[in-house]
Amino acid sequence: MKLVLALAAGLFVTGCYNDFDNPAPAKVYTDQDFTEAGAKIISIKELKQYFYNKWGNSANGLGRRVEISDNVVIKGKVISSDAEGNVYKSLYIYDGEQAIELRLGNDNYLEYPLGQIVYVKAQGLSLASYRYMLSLGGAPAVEPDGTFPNDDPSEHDYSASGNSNITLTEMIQQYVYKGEREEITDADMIVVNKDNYRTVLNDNLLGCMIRFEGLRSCYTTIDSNTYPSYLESINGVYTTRYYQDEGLPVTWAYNYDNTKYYGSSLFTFVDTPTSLETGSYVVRVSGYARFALRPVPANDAMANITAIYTKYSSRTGGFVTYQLLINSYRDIEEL
Amino acid sequence: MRIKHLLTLLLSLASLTAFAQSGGIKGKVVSRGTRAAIQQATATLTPGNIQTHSDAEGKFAFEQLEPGEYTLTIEADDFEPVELKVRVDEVVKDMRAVSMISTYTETLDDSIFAEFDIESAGDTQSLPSSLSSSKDVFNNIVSYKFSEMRFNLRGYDSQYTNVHFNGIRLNDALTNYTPWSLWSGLNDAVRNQESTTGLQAADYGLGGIGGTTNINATASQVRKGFRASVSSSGQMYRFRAMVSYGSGLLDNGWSYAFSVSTRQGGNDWIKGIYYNCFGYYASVEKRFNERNRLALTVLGAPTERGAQQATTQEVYDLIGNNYYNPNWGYQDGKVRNARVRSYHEPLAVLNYTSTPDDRTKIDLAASFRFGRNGYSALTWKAGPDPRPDYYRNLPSYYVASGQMWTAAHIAELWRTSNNTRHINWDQLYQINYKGEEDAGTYGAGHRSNYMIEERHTDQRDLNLMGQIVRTFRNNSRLIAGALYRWNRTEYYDQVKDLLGGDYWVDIDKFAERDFVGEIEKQNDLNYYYKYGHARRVEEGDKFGYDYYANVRQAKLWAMYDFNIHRLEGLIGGEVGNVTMWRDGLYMKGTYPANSFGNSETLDYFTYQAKLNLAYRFSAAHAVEFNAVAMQNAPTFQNAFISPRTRNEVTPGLKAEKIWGVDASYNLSYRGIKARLSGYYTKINDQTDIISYYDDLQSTFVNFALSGIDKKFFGLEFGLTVPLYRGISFNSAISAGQYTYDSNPNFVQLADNSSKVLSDADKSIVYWKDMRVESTPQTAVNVGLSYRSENNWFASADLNFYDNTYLSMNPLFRTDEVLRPGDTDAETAEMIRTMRAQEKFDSAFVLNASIGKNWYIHRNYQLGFSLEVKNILNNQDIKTGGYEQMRLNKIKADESNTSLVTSYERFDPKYFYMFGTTYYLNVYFRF
Repeated sequence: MKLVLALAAGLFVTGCYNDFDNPAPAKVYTDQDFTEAGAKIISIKELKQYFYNKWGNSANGLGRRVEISDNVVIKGKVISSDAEGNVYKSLYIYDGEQAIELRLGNDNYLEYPLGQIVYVKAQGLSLASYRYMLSLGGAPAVEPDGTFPNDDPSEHDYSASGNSNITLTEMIQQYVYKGEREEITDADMIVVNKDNYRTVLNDNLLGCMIRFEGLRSCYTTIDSNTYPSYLESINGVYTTRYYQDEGLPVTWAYNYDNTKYYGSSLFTFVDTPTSLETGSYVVRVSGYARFALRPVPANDAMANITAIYTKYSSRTGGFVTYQLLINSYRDIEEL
Repeated sequence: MRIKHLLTLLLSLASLTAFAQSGGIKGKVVSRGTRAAIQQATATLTPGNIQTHSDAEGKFAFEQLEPGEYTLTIEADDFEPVELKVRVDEVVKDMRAVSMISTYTETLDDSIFAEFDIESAGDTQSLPSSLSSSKDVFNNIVSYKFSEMRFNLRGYDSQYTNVHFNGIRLNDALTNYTPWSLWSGLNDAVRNQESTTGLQAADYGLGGIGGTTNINATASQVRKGFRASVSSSGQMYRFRAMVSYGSGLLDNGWSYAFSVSTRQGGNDWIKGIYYNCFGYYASVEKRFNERNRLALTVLGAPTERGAQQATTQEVYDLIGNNYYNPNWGYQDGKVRNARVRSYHEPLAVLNYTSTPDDRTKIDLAASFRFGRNGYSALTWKAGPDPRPDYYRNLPSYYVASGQMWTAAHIAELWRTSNNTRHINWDQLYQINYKGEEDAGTYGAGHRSNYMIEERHTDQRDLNLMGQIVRTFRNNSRLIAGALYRWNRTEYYDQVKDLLGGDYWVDIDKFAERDFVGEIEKQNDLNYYYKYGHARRVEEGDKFGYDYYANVRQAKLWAMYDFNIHRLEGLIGGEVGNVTMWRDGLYMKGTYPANSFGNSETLDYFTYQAKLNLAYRFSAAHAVEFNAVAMQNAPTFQNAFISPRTRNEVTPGLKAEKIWGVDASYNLSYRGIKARLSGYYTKINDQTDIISYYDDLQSTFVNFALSGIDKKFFGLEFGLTVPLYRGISFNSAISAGQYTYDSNPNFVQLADNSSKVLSDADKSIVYWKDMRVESTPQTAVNVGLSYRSENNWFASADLNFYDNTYLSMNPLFRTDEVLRPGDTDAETAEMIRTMRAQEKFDSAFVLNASIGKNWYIHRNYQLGFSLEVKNILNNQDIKTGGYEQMRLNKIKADESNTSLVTSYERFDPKYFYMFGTTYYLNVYFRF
């Protein structure tokens, strides 16, 4: 009889293995969560000042960084999305004044979609410059001797990176906290057109979402670079290729046969662009972008483009170009 | 020993009183403890190999025997075999009572019974080749005592062992794996087994190279009486209960039997593993008259089991032990395993036996297997890999690129936080709660990014078998049979749990990444064409892939066995045909032309020729020689290169050829039993397919190996010696060398385009002379056992294992990994490191058991057994594992990240033997 009871007991315990409750929704963080814990909420502009204080107001180049030691927190709204595969391992946040890139992992849109308010605990992170663009990330890779590169300005290493991506979920969550989920509104972007771009755009707006109205697609050659083109990379050898020469339709990037290359096309407010320092913008698109094989507007076609405004240069800081980082194909409006 | 002397004495007395005219022997088999008759004991007389069974009163008889010396062996389920020398004169000798001692080891084997994962992909342990009881001295020791080490007899995979159930071979139609999981937990019902070893043929089939086992589970074969047991274990499950009843043969010709069991709970070593398993068995049999019997047997094992996965040493070291399981995490404070096997595959078998005359026996049998078989896993559309031990979630990945800050952070989280050490279920739910909404296309709700899928292999397996055995006047026999097998297995993926989201969209995430179009990413193009978007699927819906594997097999065999004086022999042959094809139920976006509907039909001729010879010098000494040559069809799983996506046949696919010989010397003298064997086997033209993400090609690939040859040779030695007053010594030695005997060819195809990526001239895997993986090639047992007159039993065994090798990833042994950018940067040392095969450390394991049973009023029996394994608590014994297919790219410098100068292997993953475990069983019978 005992055995039968034991068997019955065995049958009874059955249900428990797969009986799980859905977890409660995640906490929504507010300013108080940080201020009450002794942190100071500062603006993105104030955060960037840590870097400029160390390296000078026009500092550029690779590998330079400052590690934030103060208990400061920045707050901003997510204005980038990697859902379509063009933005890669970056999250741009904007606080109504300036924006900054956070270097994180893949598919940030899942956790931090467009419009999400986030708080970033900057303490312990490295604020670094990559060809003029400031970003916040983990500490950079160390040199073979175990030290960080370029902490001394006299030993500027132009190949190193000043910070690194934080990719492990729980590690990200130690620095990035989610507040309210909001929408992207007109207030989150700056509108420029042919008439005002010279006055409105400046390097303080790097990383911001800009709506460029009335850009002209321009198939041309500037500084010996021809647009549109794509950058082939085979075993460390980079070659610029032209769609027409390769017998390919002109698309935003290259994506054929499991091979993906960046594409560059030029859009401009200038009638005859000769420089990329102002008024002309390179739209750089990843071969992984969902819209990589969509056609680039024909030469001289007009378009409105909403994109993250970024700056690029040679390693030593020359050959400045302004590049547009597109979140979504919907942000390209051919006129 | 004493029993034997007593019996010999009885025997001599009996011979005095016997006075019948023709030569013969008769007797009655009884249990020593209860003096109860033992029915269905097998009495075998050699030479001549004449067999009979005891009847309901335990009586047996041999008549019309030639005068001479015979050895009479009596075997019965649950009893120690008895061997007697008999001299037959012109009369029938009445041996009166032959008493048998019941075995107490019966319950120990339960612990190793069919508890292994079957997974061809190599991410879990595979089934050892021998799990069955055997009368063979060597096999009997190794099949139980070496199971802890996943020991494979002679190095063969389990598919080379034939397992029959009520006479029908039930090895899986698609993989050939042994079918133990169908009746796991039903130990009482399947206890009656007969086995042959190595190349020996059996009465119910020619077998192969790895021995055969037949489970006799018709009602009349189940031990008469009621039996109940409860067990507790630290090895696999916490608790087991089993109740069984066998009616024996009733006066009206009916017999019936049933058994039910349950296994529940986890074990002492691996968290996340759990058993929620049941078993049921029922059989009814009718003996219409002396000549006709019909039996119907039905069984099933509804099983749900949390699985374990191997991981890298780095992870084990971070956690602090070798028993970490990456498959689980806490959800709401409760342990939840993502990888759960859930199956219920009932088996129904109908047996009809007729003996139209004393020299003819006809068996007809039909079996049908059906039901469902699923194995769950986490899947996700985008975002970080949620598996905690994914390489990018480990410190080593960051150390390799000098990111010490990140590495230190991650290491700290691994040491301190369950959200990093284990699956963070809550995080997955949070993502799904906020999943994208697209009511216009997919309807209301949030789209899940993470979910649990359940991959199904649902079989419909029908076997029809007929066999006739004709015994001739000289006691030679002709056995002829035929089999037809019909198998249609549906492979599909199913949504099991949306983890807080409302639906899943059925697209192929890899194709979505690799192609920018809408067509390529569709898993079911027909649906897309009809509705203009991919399907919304919810819990219980099929998605991803869905196809039928069709296998048809027909087989004819004939065996003739004979004995001429002291020579016993058997020659046998088998011919057959295997036909198979894939039938796709989805039209796949990447393969619109060859994914939907039937593939081409593959046809394979199979054959086998077998020779068994045994020469008996005397009752004590015998030698044996066996030889086999055979050709097998490739398995369905290797015949199609990527059956989840398309109908394409594996390049280089061929029938597998095997030939082998073995020779043995058997000693059976005054209770000493010994066998020494040598064997040599070649298996040629095997095929294998591995699908994985290839870091060299940066895409998911199918890697098809063909022309894999293997060579197995070695020695087996088994010995039992009665020492003194119930103490006996046992030993087994298996010393083999199992190697790859060719450098196989390979073809590497992109999974999404079928484009050939490998260079035909250089597509060789350098495997020749490397070792066959996953079983110790040297295994030694020495042990003592004790059996007292008042039914105490105890044993202690020391096992030694050596020459165990890690399963090899073929990619590391190709030229592909040596030519990054044709820089020729590798040194000879780097090549050696890349190709080297890991050999595990040798290990000693000490095990012991104790048991006792009590007879209560003669009719009731109460007993227990306790087994303790790995008493030395050695927690560093690797039992298996595999190499990952991925490679670390070593880059020139950070400024040019596409310039790879060389590759490094990823760390391999290991399984470890558990530390000390126990298995306690208490049983009651009447």
